[in-house]
Amino acid sequence: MLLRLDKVPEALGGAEKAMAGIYASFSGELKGSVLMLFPEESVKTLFRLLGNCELEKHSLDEYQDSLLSEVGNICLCWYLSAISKMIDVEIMPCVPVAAYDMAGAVIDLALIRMGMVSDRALLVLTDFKGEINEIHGAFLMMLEPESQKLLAQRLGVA
Amino acid sequence: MESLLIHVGIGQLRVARNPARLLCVGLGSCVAIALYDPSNKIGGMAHIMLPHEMAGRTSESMPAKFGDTAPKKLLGEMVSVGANPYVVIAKIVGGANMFKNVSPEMKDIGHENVEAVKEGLIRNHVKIIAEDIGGTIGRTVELDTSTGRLLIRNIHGRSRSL
Repeated sequence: MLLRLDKVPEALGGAEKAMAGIYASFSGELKGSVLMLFPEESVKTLFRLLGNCELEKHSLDEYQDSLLSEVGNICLCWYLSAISKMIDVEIMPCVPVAAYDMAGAVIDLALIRMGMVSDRALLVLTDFKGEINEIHGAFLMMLEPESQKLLAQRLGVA
Repeated sequence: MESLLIHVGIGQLRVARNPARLLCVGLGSCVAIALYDPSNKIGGMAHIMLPHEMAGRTSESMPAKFGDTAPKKLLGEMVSVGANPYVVIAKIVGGANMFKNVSPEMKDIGHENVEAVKEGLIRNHVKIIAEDIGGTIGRTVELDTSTGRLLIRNIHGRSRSL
């Protein structure tokens, strides 16, 4: 869904909800940045499944920061690669960075980056389902105006 | 009695008269400008996201998007509902850096926002009497128009008032 920037935190369940964000910019034929978001419960599940560790007091230690960045790296690269194949463009992602805080605070950097060129952002909600565990996530994709046009053209909605 | 709570979204500004509270939730690199006229108990809050307005970058739907121009707009709104601009004081909150190791152009955005807001307030002759800025933690801030007190809280449950 395409949203006005000030409506994005609400669409994700509220600006004060604890959330992890993994942010990466990308360049190539398609330029912009992407923010992957995991709510608190999903972060806990991820840490239990992958890191054998617990989230304590709403802050990440170095290991957890690295773990989240890596999860983000995999998801974001897979996501960008899918778009790249779908519309046949070259996308080169940068190394992602992670943070855990109130949703509004985690999101605002990405909104600021987007706000430099637009008042709107594209939000894609995603669920990862396993047999036992369920992890919810969201991708917030922000494209430069030229790249928005290119994406729309290639998708045939321009 | 619980007073009216007014949310101020990103890029927005709101003005309210006692009894009411103005709220900015989840500030990261964004900055909240809280203005208060103690004689008329009128408060105003703006939630800015970028430092400087440039040609072709003005925004109709987000009047308080930019730190340099939001102070004038917010003060103007307050005066239009009866505030005395000569006694209005300011408190500013936010401008954190949420992501370690983020690219240099994005790393300083919080700081740049704070500087732009300060310059904008000075240009409009509004005195800043308190601030809680920078750092690496997000903030939620609430202005009580009955007292002018600003309550700031974070995800760790710690709060302080300015």
